[in-house]
Amino acid sequence: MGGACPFPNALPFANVTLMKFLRQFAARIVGQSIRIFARAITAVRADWQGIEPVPKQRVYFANHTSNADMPMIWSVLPPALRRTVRPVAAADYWLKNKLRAFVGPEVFNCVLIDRRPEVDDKPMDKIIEALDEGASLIIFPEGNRNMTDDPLLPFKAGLYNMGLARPDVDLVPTWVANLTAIMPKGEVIPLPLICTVTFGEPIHVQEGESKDDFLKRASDALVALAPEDRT
Amino acid sequence: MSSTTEDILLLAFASFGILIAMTFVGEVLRAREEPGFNNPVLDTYMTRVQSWWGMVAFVGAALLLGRPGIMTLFAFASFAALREFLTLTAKAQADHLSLALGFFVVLPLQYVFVGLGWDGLYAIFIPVYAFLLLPIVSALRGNPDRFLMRVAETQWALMIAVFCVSHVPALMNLEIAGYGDRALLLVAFLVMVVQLGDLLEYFFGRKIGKTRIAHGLSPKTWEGVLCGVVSAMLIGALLNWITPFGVFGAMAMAGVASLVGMFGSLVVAAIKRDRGVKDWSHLIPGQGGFVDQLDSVIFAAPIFYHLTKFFYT
Repeated sequence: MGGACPFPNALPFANVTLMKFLRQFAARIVGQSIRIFARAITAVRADWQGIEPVPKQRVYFANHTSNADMPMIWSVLPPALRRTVRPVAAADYWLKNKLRAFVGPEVFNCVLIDRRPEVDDKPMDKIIEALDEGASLIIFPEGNRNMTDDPLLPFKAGLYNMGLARPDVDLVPTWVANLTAIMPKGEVIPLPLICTVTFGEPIHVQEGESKDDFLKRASDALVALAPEDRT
Repeated sequence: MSSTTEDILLLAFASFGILIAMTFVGEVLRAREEPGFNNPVLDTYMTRVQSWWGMVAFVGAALLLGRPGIMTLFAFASFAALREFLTLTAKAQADHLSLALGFFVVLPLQYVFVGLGWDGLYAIFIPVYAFLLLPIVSALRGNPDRFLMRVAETQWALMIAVFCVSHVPALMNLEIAGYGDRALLLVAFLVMVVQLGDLLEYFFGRKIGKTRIAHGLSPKTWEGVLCGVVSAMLIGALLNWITPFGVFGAMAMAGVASLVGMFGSLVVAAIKRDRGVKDWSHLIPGQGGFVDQLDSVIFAAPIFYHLTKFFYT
């Protein structure tokens, strides 16, 4: 990754440390800018319905309608929670160019998953590894962005596997409201409408619960957080 | 220091005096509570007083900065109010461009016209041009589903959040003989009589209110509204020295503004009930959103503006 070195003859060690420091500094600035931008435009706010915003290990599983979903959730988390959270994201998206390769892994600290079928990336191993290091995660169990009129696509098995492998971790349903109206697919200008991120009561895989039953229950818990559509 | 600036400072210090008294009363009540006991009414009261501190500071600073300060403050309030309103209205992807035009073209242009003092244009820009042109932009995308509902609700949002709110700074454009640059003080007069009238209406409504005005809509009572309007008239009389109206004129103007404002917030309550929300947003602690805070000023402003223009210019 590293950019062109400004002092080619300087000591390599000092240079590496300096570059690392500068990159971290830049990552913090970019992160704060994203938060301020999200707040100024969409007045994004958290609604903690089922849990408190306390530093506990959690997997926030959310609906996915737009590329802005993850930055919105990330922006509303309090600093102590934001520092330990790692979004699980697609490598093909975040490694597409140099800017994304900086923002994804360094600003958001993403766990990157290679989605190409020919590469067996063992995504679950990476996720479990991140959990065992103590990180909380943000995941989108629908797998892809939902472009349909249904509130949610069927969930992939990943959430169930995480819940089974690390039963102590809270699985927190997280509904991001209004992003489809703010930035529908194919539009260029985002509308400054109010975005709300609602955190529901955590769920766990129960003993003997089948994969399909659990995924249905998780999906229902998430849809239940969606605001009633009265328009 | 000009006499206008002196008057603004005097009003600001008087408001701070009232707020200090309100904060003091709250803190005394809190200190007399049993430890570990939480009184939700007192907590709400204190949060609201804190928000009032912020508002008085913002409006006071804007008034001291003069025209540009007031223009900026209300343009920002319009933006926040429009954002709250359009979050709750009917819309489809076909409206995306017309909504974006509402936010990024109609709103700034309205404030440019008010800033330039083009009263012929800012009086009709939204009711005529936006009203006719934005539905065309939506229609071009060809989605007839709930079309009338979508364009009507968008137009309502623009009228309430942009057109009406912009009539507060538009008061500065009124050329009243012998009043000169003091037109700025009309902004302070309108905001103070309407907001204080609301506060006293709420207080008296809680104390002596019995007869509900609109069941299932709002806890407002006829007794509360009557006391609120009479209080607003008295406050108007007290503040008549900053207006060109004279004592009785100031009482009448304050009474009309306050009355229209109170019924305006009934209309806004009906919209909230229909959409199933308690507040328009969460941006002002203890008060809800900008529309919640400004609803009565929003309804009062254009009428206050036109009555002043009709009788005093």
